[in-house]
Amino acid sequence: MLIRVDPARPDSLQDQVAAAVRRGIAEGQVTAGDRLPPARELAQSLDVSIHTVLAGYQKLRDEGLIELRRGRGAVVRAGAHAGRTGVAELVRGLVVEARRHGIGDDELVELVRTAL
Amino acid sequence: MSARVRRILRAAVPPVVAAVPAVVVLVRGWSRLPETVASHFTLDGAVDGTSGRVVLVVLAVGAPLLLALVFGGIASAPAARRGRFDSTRAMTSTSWATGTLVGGLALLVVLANLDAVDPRAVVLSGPGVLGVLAATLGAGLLGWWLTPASPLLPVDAGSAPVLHLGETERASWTGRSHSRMLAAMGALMVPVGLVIGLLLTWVAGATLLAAGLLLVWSCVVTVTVDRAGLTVGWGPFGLPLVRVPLADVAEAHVEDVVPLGYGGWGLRLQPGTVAVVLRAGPGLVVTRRSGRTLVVTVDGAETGAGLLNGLRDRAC
Repeated sequence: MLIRVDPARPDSLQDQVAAAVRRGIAEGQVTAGDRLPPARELAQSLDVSIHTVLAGYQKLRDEGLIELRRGRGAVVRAGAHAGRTGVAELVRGLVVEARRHGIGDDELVELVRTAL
Repeated sequence: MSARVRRILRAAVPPVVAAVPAVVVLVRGWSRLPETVASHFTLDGAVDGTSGRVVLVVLAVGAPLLLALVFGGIASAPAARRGRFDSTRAMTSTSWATGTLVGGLALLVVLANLDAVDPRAVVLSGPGVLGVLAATLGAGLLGWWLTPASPLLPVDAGSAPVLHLGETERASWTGRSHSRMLAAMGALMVPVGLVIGLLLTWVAGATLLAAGLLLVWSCVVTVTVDRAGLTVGWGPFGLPLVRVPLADVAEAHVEDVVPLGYGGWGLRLQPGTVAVVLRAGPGLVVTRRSGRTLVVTVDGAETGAGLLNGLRDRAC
């Protein structure tokens, strides 16, 4: 799986790590049961702090895309199919766009709720 | 009959055919064999080890079947060669020779033990041993002669993608490949090793067991491409096996790897080339500045090669 991050981009490095993994899942570069690179090795490889990678992985865990287990590392979950990953990616784009237009977080949640 | 079936039969049948005389004599003479038989001999034909009668069955039936299985399995892979060395031909020839040697020696050992009163006094026939050695040589040459030469692979048919990177961008690519063949062979060797170790000799059993576990361990490699260059990690924990620093990368491309073109599976050292071959199919080929190459089979090799070329371009 290819992970590209760029400190010159406006979004945080941890978000970029999470986005790269999401893309990897969506494109089928990694599938359910596959192990992601260990956080320590990926951090070393990308020349970023291990906390950055862990924060990115935790974000993916909260989205239900991966499992984090002590000793086993990060593993792609069975439910993490392309469709769900695509929606997660769209939501992330929505948040970025909302913030760019000065829409507050609570206001955005409200907007989403009215659309449901 | 397809070329593949012919290749498999050519490699797997000779050990079985060579075992027929020993099996016939063993079956017809079973009641004439003592409970304890001479099973191990010194170079001048004197006995230095005895076992139960069942060891003759292992020698005459088990060993040839194992040879047929292993050589037939290897021969099921496509035949190909890169230079003058022809793995498929050499492997088939080895099967003919080894099969003849095992079958011939089994026959001599069974014959020597017929009607033996004291297994310690059994003597292996000297002219018999010479005859078996001559037949082994002859079978090896015949096997070579009867096997058609493997097709020569084109020298360079690979594509070389380039993934362009931004000035401040950082990238890391991880790919894996695993071998069902190595895993299956290892998994087969573990129980066989246990059985041989418990029933016959523990040295051979422990060796087979250790080799089996090593094979199972080795059935996966991880390839990483990043600012440091390319690293091949071995086994489930990715212990560094081979490394090409970024400054040493001249070019990376993708090749459709045919295992026997590199002499088979595993870590293959050939003149000017180091190959880590776990399966047939896409492999990443890195040419070093010195002109030497590293080949490693890996899923998604194209992305890895592209990133390596992109990193090299940016570093220049």
